[in-house]
Amino acid sequence: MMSPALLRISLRMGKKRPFTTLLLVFGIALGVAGVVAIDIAKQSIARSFELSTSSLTAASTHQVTGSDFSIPQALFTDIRTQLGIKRSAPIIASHVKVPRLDNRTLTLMGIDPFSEQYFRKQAVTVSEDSNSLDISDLLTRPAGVLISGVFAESHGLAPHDSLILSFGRREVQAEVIGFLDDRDTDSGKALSGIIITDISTAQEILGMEDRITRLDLILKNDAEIENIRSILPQGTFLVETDRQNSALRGLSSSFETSLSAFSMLALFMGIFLIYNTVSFSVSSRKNLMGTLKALGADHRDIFKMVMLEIMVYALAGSLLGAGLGIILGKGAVQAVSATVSDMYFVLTVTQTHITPGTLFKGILAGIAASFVASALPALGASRTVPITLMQRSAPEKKLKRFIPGLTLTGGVMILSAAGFLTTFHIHPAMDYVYVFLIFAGSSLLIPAFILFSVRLLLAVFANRTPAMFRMALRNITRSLSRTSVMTASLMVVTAVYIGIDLMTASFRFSIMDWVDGHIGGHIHVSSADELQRGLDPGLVEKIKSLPEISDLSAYNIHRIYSQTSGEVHLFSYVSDRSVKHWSWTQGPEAQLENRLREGGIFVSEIFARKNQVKAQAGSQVILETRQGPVRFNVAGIFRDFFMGVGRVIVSRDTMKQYWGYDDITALQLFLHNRTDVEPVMAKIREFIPDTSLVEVISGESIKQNILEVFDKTFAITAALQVLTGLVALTGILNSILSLLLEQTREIGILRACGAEPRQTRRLLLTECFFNGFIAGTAALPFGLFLAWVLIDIVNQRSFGWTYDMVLSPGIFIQALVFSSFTALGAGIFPAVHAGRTDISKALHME
Amino acid sequence: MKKNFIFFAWIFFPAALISVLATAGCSRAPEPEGINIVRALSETLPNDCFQAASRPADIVFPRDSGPHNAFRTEWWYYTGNLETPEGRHFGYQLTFFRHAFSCEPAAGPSKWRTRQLYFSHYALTDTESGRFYSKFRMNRESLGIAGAQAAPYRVWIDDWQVREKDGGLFLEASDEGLRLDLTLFAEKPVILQGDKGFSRKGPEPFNASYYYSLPDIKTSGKVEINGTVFSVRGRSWFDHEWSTSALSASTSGWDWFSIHLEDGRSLMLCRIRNREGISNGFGFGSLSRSDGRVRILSETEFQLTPTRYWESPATGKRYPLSWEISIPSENLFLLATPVIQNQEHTHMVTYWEGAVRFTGKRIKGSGYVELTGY
Repeated sequence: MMSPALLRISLRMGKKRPFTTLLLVFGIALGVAGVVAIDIAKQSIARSFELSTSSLTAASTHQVTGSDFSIPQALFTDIRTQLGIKRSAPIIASHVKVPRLDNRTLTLMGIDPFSEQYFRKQAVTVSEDSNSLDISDLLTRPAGVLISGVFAESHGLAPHDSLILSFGRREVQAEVIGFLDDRDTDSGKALSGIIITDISTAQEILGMEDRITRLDLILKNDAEIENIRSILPQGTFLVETDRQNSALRGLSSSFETSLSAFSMLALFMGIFLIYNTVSFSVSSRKNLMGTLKALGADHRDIFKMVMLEIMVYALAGSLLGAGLGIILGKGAVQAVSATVSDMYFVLTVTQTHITPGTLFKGILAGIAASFVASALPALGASRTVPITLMQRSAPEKKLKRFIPGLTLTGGVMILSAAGFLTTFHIHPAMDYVYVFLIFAGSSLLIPAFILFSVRLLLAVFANRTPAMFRMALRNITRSLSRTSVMTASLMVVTAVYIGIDLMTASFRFSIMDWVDGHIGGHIHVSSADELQRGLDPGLVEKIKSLPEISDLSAYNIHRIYSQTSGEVHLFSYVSDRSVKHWSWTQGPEAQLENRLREGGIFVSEIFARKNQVKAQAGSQVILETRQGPVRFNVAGIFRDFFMGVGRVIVSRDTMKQYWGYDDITALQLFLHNRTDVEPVMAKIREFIPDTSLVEVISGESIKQNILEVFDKTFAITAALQVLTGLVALTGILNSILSLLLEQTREIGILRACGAEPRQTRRLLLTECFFNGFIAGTAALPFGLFLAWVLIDIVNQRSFGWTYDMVLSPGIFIQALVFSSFTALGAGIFPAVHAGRTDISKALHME
Repeated sequence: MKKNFIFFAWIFFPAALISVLATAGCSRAPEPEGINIVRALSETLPNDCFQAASRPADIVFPRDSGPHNAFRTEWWYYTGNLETPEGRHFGYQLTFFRHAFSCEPAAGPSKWRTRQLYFSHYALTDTESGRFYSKFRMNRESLGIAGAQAAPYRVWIDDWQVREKDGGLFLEASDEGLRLDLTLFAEKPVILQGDKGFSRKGPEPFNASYYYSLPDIKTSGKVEINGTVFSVRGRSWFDHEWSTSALSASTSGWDWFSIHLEDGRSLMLCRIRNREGISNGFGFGSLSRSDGRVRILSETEFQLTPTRYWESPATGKRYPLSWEISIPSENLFLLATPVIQNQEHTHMVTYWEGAVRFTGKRIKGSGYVELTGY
């Protein structure tokens, strides 16, 4: 057992320097918080996907669905009376916005209560006075609905209150007749995203005539499956619920993959930061250790003392970090789920899902990193003879011996990881391991890089600069063991900053480009009635005849169902002026229109990826049509950012022949004169009767909306950038404080030799600035590399988007400024402090 | 304060059964567990637009074999005893209930809208193995998922059905390894119970139903239990009854008997119990002789005396399963004993209905007994 006195001494040491101790704890906390926050976001999104779908598909093993997301309801009668499959339930489902419930998007689910007993046994809460919900209310009231009990409570809704449901701009008044119990269980939580009503009500609200959205089934054997297949009419098909959900699971895992990438970065930075902070703290205690050793403490005592102290701080920091991570994580969940709902799939349930595993992982990362970071220096310190321990130059001598070895190892790590990354794709997780290796390798190159840079800088500035300037530069190499760790940390942080910035900027550029290409029209007219997509032909004619209009693109856009990729947006057009970026075409681009007329189709990259469409002549893909599955020739693959789902372009004839749609759902108008936008919009609005739901919007506002969504999408990356900055600042501040501590004597001597406080300040600040500058320079190639990984590997694999990296010198200058000034900023406080050094006290150290 | 209920079927069921109870005649509709009978029965009709049985009416076939949607409640009830050529015995029950939760026409154009609800009980008693199987279905009468029609006669829920075809009746029901596939031929004419089918059940003017029976139906076909198919023959009893508010508020339950005697006579007896557990005086019965002649019986003409009780391990209810039956004017004395004790239905509604053997001094018979309100 080590003497408690030693631990007390050690902890008192921390108390003596409360600021550095606080920084140490905060540094650990920040590292842990990053890991925890991103992990929470990742888990929560996965969970939200699961809950949002589980309440909809419930216990079904199979579903019958149709190519246009509807099936004839007579199929249900046949399945019940001819086939006798009692575990079958008809469903009508649609998204609906509810202004009274914070304008949230929920799923309106029309069900047959009598068929539900095998699928969804939901608990309902009813107020005591009514005692039980009378089913006849649900069946006979024209628009009786059941909503989440939690919503009802928080929004003060009572039975028989009315509720407006909006479908696009169409609004329907419903009446609350009961509440779903969504308070406790997971299955309850899943209910919070849905509004339940009788299938008859849903059918009337949605104007579905004799059709329903789908049938849920629990099928027990192949005979039942065969029986169902044998009676399915054309345009309907039986799918396994699991497979049906796999498209969504794919989307969910896309987000998980991309969040994993960020989580990995956060972990990496976290570990680096912790290592940086802890190792500095340990080395700053060397004097104390030397003294204690000289007084007779043995090496085990010293080791235990250091480790125990650091572990106390590590634990405190990790716990604090876990708490901080929960707060940050909640924000991240909101940001990510808003993105998902805006762009891909309406998450009707969003919740922050915090598992003990996540917290454990974060805390473990904090403690383990602290342990590793402190064990080596502590071990080193405990084994060294007191006098060496107290010599500043000892570790430097050691490090210099190792530089060639470190450089070689670093080089080998980078080269082999880069080699693996570009040649083998075993598993997405491995990509991150490679990235990690590359960063770790690059850190090993830092000491050599510092020596080289300083020499270069000295050569460049030789003799032309004041002595203090050269002293500052030499100081960097003189305390290389400290500065290299600090520089490496700053390098990693800056590289992450550059990587994220480059990715975001490139993506934004591609989106802008795409938006300009596709939404070039000055005015857009489209149906805002989600239940009635087609525009009135009379309206289209009137608009066409407006003299201000020079050209017009008319589109027919519908959702269809695909067995392999779920929802697909089907496009056809009368004329189209959009500019597409083709990633592959069959034959010259000029002939593509002909291919379309011959019955060929164009598919988006995302669709191609989901359906394994190869970029080669003769590629075919099967689409579900009203006439059953039909094989189409793929004539081109285009780049697309359209709402995350796959997009298919067909000719108008093909659309009419196979899907029966012959209407126009959207117009893009091009004007002779840009200034006419507002007056023409006003004219068009006059054509539209109040009752019809048509949206007229300027191209400019659409672009604005898209970019807003985009920026929201990248809110989490922006948050990560802020975190990066914070990490950098904390880490550097801590390092510089420690460096300063070691330089106290030196500064004392300088002062004693006549240096003014102003000069010592400048010396330190110059040192810091160049440290940052060197780190920034080293970060440039790695930032570029990280951007490449994020763009070409993470995003491409996660979402199927491909876009080119857009390099702008601004980003690199920004990065250099970021790292140099972060370091400079972190040096201000210590430098001011150093300026005030009491000469006699500084020299009195021994 | 809020109270939790399990969704839908569970919520609905009290409401449906309350109404069923309120209208139930002596024969069928089981009494639900945990439902406040007084409240149920004292509940006045929410709508006066339902028709009620208040006087004798002309019952005409085939018209009246179909549904009477203007009345709140209706049922078609098939029970019977069957045997394989080797003498292995089975009992069966297939019942269809119709319940209207409103007498107003459904509002709205959707074909799912309806005010008629159907539910069904399907039971098999395997005497040799001592097993009793009971199944339940419930559906709305929409899109032809469930319903009833007069000509050609058919009553059904999903693929459970009884339908008329080529002059015969076919009964089909299957559920999880239990299949019933029977052909029915009525051997005796219809009995219009009570006063030409107008059957009084209690003291209030509307405590009555319209009620007719087919007392003796030759039955043959197949019973399948978990993959084993049995060829069977036997006799069945059929009741069809419709009403709106058949029971008075003081009713607690009833005991109903249908008996096929070996000498060709068929007998139906029923007593309605009040809250003190004694007959309310409106019990009734009928005796159909082998030549088809019918004698309507009033409660004063027969006695039903329970002799032995059985306590259900599932529900703890005590049912009188053995009875002494006497009709002195016919010099008929019988002892009723169930083929197996546990023939209790426990689908949200608990009652005992099962195959029973009857023995007298020189006569034997088989039949079905229904005991509710215990």
